[in-house]
Amino acid sequence: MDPLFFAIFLGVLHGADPGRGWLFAVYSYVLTKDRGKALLTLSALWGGHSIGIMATYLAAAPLLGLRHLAAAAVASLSAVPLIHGKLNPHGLARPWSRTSFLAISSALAGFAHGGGLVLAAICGLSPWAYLAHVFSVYLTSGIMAAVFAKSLTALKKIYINFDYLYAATGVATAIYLVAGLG
Amino acid sequence: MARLTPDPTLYPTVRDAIKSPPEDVAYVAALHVGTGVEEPDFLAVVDTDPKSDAYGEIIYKLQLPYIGDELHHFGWNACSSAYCPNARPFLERRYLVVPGLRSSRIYIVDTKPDKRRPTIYKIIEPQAAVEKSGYTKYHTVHCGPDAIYISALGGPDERGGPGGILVLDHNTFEPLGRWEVFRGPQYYAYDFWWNLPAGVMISSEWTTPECFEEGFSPECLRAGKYGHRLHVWDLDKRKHLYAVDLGEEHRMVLEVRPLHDPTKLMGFVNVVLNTRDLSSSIWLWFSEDGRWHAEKVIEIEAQPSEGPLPPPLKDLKMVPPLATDVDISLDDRFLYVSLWGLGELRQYDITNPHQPRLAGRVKIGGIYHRAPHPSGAEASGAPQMITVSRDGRRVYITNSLYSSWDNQFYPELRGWLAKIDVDPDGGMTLDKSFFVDFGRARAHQVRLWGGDSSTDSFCFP
Repeated sequence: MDPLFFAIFLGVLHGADPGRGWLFAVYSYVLTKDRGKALLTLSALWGGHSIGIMATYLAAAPLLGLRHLAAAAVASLSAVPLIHGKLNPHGLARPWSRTSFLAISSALAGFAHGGGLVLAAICGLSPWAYLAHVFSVYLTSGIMAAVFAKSLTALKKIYINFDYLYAATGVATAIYLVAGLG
Repeated sequence: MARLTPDPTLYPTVRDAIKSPPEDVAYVAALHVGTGVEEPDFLAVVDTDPKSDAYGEIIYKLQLPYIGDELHHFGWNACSSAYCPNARPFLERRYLVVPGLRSSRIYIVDTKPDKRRPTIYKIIEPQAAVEKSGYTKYHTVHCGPDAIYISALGGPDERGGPGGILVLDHNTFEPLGRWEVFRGPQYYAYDFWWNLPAGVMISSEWTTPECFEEGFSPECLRAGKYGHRLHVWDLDKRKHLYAVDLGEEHRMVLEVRPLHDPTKLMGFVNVVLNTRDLSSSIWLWFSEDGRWHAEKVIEIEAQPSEGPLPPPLKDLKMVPPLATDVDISLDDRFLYVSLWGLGELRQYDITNPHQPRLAGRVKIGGIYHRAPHPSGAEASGAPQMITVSRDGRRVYITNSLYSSWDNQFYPELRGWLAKIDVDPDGGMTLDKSFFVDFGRARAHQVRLWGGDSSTDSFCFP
């Protein structure tokens, strides 16, 4: 699989997920009718996430040589959102949380959820892959927020539990690593 | 495991909740406490599907294992706040959290797999919750932004206070402890709800168990022991910010009902008794310039009466309206007020919340009106607990207030559940064909399948 394509695929997946932040941007718009504030909220969440996975990227570097260890880490970390979501569907943030807190909690989540590790496993430590990934997250989540700011009713139809998708991606990546297909 | 798709009874917006399919089943808290019948309280399942053969009938009674719980209010484990941006809607709206107001026991009732045959999933015995929280006499349940919140009216000795709020883990239902980090001057509790965008909780005041368990007490009233304030709390820091005093004469501040549209920072609350003229009043609480205020927007007068009066009112020769419950339709268009003294349910158009306009009235029971049900059935007691359907077209009412108060104002009260049809433009009529007789048991709060107007908080209008 082309690493750049995979980086973009992960970015679109993450950016589309209503549970990963852009709903906060819609919420901000619904309450204030201020597009600037909504964009600021979206950017703060995106910024936090980007820093979080950058940190994972760097922390993961030594792991990448040890394929089996990396595979185990990838598979288990990808399941974290699924378990965490069952134990605590509300996360750290609250509807009234301030933008600065959203950025920080997003960074923490970005670091802890292993997405950066999945990215590194397929793409290596390529700066292009990282940039392609964070750019596609920003673009996708921005489009989702803009579309759903008009009406959230359709949310019920498209909203599936992405945590299962992340876990599946993690398992697939782990298999890829172990099978040495790279 | 978490669901793959959202629970269909959780709604992203208020509008979706209004458009959702109507309720086919209702749960009713029914009690024997105070009736002289030595049997446990029960949760009744009532068929509310007009196409069903059993429409308007109790189709099942979930008998509880203990006598003396005093079922009162109850709530769901999950609600539409799961669509708030910090949460996800992949949990099930499945369990009813049913506290005992007298026993301080908490039942977790499972409505799956068969909503018509709910079962007891878990019992949280009084010692567990009381030890963890220091509170007794559990009253109102709300599914919160991070846990399940329950209001408590008593302190550890079960007689005095302070009352407050305890929190349950929303997965295991284990009591986590007291919610307040800093309570300030708050001592009395009753109901509470929040405004999520502002990060604020509003709580109200009834009194402590020593002034309600044996009945309404004129001594307690004279001693100033029925509350007259609203409290404003920081939801995040869990601390008391300030109190809003409605005035010394406005006693028993009860049901806190925010508008459902989260962009509106306001709501209503009822005051049962004005000590000067025995009137009831409805107040609008609202945020202005970053501070919360309250103003009286409806006043309902007591009526003189030469007829037979119950013991608490005999010397007064007046029937106070006793507005004991309020509820708001999901579209924030109509406010419903029950007058447990007079025997009326009123509907106010609150399109302008500062100036409610009377839009409909229904008379049934009451010390003053004594109106029978249109089916001809005798209606003892009067409208008390109000439950408005999600589409706003039906209002369910029951007639019990509290065991000992029922006995004072309406000795020999027999429980009933009636249904009112609402005209979309305003106006209401009692449905002649729907009258559920609970016999000697008393009926209290009603919860509709899929949620109703006082179960869910929304982040999106």
